[in-house]
Amino acid sequence: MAASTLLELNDVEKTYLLGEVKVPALSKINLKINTGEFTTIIGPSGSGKTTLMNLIGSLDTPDAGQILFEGLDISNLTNNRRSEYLNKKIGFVFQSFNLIPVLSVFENVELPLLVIEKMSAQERHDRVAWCLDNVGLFDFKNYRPDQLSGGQRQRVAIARALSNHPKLILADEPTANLDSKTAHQIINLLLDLNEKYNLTFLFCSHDEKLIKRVRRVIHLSDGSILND
Amino acid sequence: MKYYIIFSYFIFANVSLAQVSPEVLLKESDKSRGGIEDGLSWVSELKTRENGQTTVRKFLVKSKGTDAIVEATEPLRTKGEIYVFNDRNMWLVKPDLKKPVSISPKAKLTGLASNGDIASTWYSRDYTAALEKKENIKNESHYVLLLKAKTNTTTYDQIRYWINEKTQLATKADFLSLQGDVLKTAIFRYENKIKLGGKSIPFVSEMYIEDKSREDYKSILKYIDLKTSKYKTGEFNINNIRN
Amino acid sequence: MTNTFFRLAYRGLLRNKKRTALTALAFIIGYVGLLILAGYTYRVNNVLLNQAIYLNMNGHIRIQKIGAENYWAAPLKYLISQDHILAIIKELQIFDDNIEFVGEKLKVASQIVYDDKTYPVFIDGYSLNAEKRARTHPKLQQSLSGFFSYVPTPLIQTKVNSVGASITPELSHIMGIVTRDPIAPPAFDAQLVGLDFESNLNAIDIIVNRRHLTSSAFMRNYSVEMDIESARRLTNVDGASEINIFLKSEVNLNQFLNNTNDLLEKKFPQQFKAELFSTDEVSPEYTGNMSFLMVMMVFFLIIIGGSVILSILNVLTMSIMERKSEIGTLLSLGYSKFQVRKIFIYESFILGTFGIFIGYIISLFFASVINNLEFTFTPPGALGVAFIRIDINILLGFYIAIIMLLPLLILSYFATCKQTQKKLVHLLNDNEGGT
Repeated sequence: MAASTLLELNDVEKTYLLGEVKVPALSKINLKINTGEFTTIIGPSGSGKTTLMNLIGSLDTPDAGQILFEGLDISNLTNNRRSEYLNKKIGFVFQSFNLIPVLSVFENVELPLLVIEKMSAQERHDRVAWCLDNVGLFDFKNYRPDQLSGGQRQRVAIARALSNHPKLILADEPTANLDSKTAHQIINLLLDLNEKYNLTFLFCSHDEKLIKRVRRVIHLSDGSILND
Repeated sequence: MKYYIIFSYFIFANVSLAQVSPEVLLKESDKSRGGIEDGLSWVSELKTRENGQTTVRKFLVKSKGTDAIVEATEPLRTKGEIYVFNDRNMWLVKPDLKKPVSISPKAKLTGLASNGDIASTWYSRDYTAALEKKENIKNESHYVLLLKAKTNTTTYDQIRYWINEKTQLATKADFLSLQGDVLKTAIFRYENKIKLGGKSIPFVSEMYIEDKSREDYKSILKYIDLKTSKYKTGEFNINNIRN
Repeated sequence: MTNTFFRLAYRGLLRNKKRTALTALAFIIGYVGLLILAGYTYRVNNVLLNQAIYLNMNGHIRIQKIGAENYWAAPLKYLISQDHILAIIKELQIFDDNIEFVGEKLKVASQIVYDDKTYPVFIDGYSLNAEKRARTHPKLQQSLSGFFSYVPTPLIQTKVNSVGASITPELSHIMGIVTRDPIAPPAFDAQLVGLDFESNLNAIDIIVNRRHLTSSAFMRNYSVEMDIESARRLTNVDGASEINIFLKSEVNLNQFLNNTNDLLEKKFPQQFKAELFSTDEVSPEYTGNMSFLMVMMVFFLIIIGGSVILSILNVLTMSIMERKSEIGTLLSLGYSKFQVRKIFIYESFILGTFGIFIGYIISLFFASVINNLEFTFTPPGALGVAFIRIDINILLGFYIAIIMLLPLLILSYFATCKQTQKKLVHLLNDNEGGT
């Protein structure tokens, strides 16, 4: 089956204002991501990786250009539309895990599901169990994040990102705060999930050693795509 | 010459005014309002018109010097009420009271008449007099006296009193508050006569009283059936009356 | 989802137990302070209210002739005649379910004569049945008992099968009568003299066998209380200055007032007017004292309540600042801004309700202690020595809870608004490293 275009960026630009100085973070980015792809964005610090991830994730808005997700322009969504987009289409995996410290592992993974009105408690339970199973942490469901290692926390974050069956999972430097062994484990987990469930991943990092298994790599430098 | 005559007139007028004693004037005018030592009796009829309604009260007054007994006779329900004046003291005696009630001459008896108006008048006893000016009323010259209360038991605080220069009868009185505001005005008529020291002198027949603050409030006190009378010793003693 | 929000809020509070405890303590102190103050005000209001209605014989509703309200002792044309009194009472029978009893009052300016000396007085003549029922009314007795050292009694019978008159201690003192028993001294004879309603001088004998206090109505320090029949004899009338209606507890006052005025207008057009006891015209000492108390209450409410709420908000704002990234995370998971704000509102709610619960219990304890300590003071014009009494009940606790909780929740909402309005990327970057 031919892969369809999930995400399309057309001439996307973003500029930041630092005092009176305009700093271009992204210039005329054109990009297409298909369903099921595992794409890595590589670039040094300051290349615009996080900016690009933020724009795709609707955490920020571009100054110019268009971002189409399943044909829908997500460049300037209303608050309600953005919430719906983030909840139903996107899963985030953050560099600092961003787990809620007062909730258990189970409760953290369940968080995105609580916004879905038509999901029963049993359905949520089953979904969370599935997610935790996939990341190998079902037995830790009652643990608090501060009782887990860095790698375990990131797995919980991945499980959370999976829970609402998103179309696209965005992972912004998910291994930056982990040791190299754990980092490789996490990347392998993401790759496994991609192969197993045909999930679309967009993952960025500054560490080229992590991308050996990755099929598509986009090099970003000074806000522009060097090669894809 | 003309100026000399005019000048002399003013000097003479002032001298003659200065020569008039206000106390003497006052004492003389009192006689025609009951201020005499001889025994008298009369009927006081007080008609009061207030808010379009008229009430009438009648009293039998017996007076000797500064003593007086005023007995209510009309309306019927007031029969038995007696007001006793002993010098400046005044009492109310009623059949259903255990003992006489001390009352103030300042208090109203009925209508616009104060307690002290019903009985005989002794302004010369109760007030100091000062001559203010002379004034014409109906083409007759009057002395205008300002009377000020000697004690706080008098009926009024101040009175402006017009005494006819010729007849030496009081024809008009303005009853004033302490601040000098006119509370009520009275006009006197003297159509009665009594014999005093072998002479016949005019006696008050009517006192017409108007309230200065209310147009619809007036009282007319008439003195009727005036007679000279002889009274026994102790007839005006409060203790005897109450028994 | 509500469970999750409560869970998040509750656990959020437990993150920094010390800070939460101190914040809760601040709320508790504020709540206790306000509730104690409200309890005192409530008690004083109860006392003043019952004084105005029962002790001062105003009743809940006063009926007078239109125009009479401009006078303390109205002239003859404003007296309600006996025929009208009977007619009005007959018409009021349709409200029998609401009326406890009805009284009449005759007010006269006069003079009291004792030992040949005269003193100006204001006479209140009361219908005896109503006077007795009012002065012995359980509400009056209960509200005054334990609050003042003076407990009122009805007019006292004399040996000759009538009731005596009553004067104030101030008048008694001026008249030179000094006795050991300030309320029921030995009886003495006196007389009342004054003008009747036709401006004729009249006098009656009285026996004075009681003293009464007039609370803060200073003008009435020269008051004489007696039965209305004696006042009528003095003034040669058979009418009354006013009719006073005493209602049963559960009656809605404003509704009854409107019904009464409608009835009076229908049956006696343009003649009579009914007023509530709680107006300046009927009971200026009640309205004056209550206005003062309410102003003080509002003042302290604003100061204490405001300080507590602002300090809690300050802590909440700090907490929000510390959790910017958490806010960003929830928003990035698809939570709406309002849903995220709810978490912090729930935190305030949990803190507030906890504070209210504990605060209520502490208030009960403090009130009990204060009441038992029996602090006394003599407010101006009071009925003797007064005790500081606090009356706390659930309803009062609820009102104070609402007054404190509602602004807290509203302000909590606005406190979170600023953070949730920020761009997600800025919220998340609080913890994020570089690009």
